[in-house]
Amino acid sequence: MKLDEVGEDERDAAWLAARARGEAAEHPDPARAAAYVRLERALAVLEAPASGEGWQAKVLAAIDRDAEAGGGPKGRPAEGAARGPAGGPEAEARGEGAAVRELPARRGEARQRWRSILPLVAAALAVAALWLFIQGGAESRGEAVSYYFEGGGARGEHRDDQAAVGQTLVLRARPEGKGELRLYRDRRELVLRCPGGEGCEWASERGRALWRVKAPLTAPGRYRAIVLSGATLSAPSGNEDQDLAAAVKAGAKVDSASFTVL
Amino acid sequence: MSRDDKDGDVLDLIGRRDYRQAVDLLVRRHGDVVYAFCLRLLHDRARAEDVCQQAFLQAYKGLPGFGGGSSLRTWLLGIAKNRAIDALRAGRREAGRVAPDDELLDDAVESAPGPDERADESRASDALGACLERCVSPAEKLLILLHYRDGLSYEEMGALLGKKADTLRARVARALPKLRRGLE
Repeated sequence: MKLDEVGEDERDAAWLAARARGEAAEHPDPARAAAYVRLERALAVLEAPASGEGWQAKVLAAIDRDAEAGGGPKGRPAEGAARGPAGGPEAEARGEGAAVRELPARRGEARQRWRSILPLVAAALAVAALWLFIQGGAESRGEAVSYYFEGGGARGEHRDDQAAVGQTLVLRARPEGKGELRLYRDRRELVLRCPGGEGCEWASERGRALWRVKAPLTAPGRYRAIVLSGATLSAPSGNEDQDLAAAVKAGAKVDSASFTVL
Repeated sequence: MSRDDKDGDVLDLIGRRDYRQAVDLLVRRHGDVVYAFCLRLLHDRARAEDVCQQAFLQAYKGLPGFGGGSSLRTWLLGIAKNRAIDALRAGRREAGRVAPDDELLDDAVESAPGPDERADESRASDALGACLERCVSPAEKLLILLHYRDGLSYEEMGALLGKKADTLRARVARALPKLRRGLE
């Protein structure tokens, strides 16, 4: 690099730094200033490297398992919020780190507590299982959305979250009050919608609305069935994230279930 | 609670204690940015994905206590950073070396990208992607991407990386001319 180029770069850097601080600074060379604006715009639209969706699905599956086991957030303040200097992402982030590092020390106490209440928990689970059995399966458990697959030599209930193209999806949803059932593929395509969609059947079961729809699975992808309840919804755009954000904003209760079609 | 407009719906869900849905939205919205950050620190796709999983699970547990001292994205990145440091520390422990968090983080930021990272970046075959690899240092590249691509303010980056915002601002300002010159 030539000496005058070093000087130019230093001048540019000083201008860029002043600009980043929000100071009104004018570059002596408008063309150069425009080049930096173009560069910044190009950087802003760079895409982050796409990760596989595997880890994301694992996170959600782990949360579902945790919820089924009665775990999950308990509504108490996180360590990060209670510790350290108030505010600031670092304080919160460092706080949660400390919380995790303290976990092993607390595990012994937790185990003791579990041992003492284990018989009670087991008894409660047995009663719950009996009740569910009497009530007659997943539908009666009050799940807002459930599904299974038919055809292709395989049929599995909710936990079998994989199907193959050619199988038929049987989807059931129980909105609370007025609501809608939507099925999205790969977050970008609205595959079906009840009411109004082809094959949507409505029924009333034990005083609650039940949507039932059968749909052939014709394309691979990650599917997500979403039940939106208790709000007046705007027409879906087909983009899952946008539609969900709009529904949440409208005050809808959201329940969902995901599966993959290979 | 400060509200990041992009995550206003997530804050609504947290307020309604619908943590499952909240974390679902966070994964979809910020998963790629958190993954890119983890990959940059760990240089290995499998390890980065493991750390992302841990980070989002921990975020799920911590959502009731999210105090709004930062945006949700910065909060997630902070959790991911700590989990990445744990992973780096575990690697060093196996190698019989112990280092403080700051040193582990600095080493990770300054180190050259690994094969997984290069493979991801090679897909962005445009001149800018190539120049980010070639024209600036790994640490400068991380700062540029955090600020311009991921939209973090210098204050947020400073909190995340344990540096002064002014230092990071100056470092990015010194790196951009190299990038511009490399693209000429």
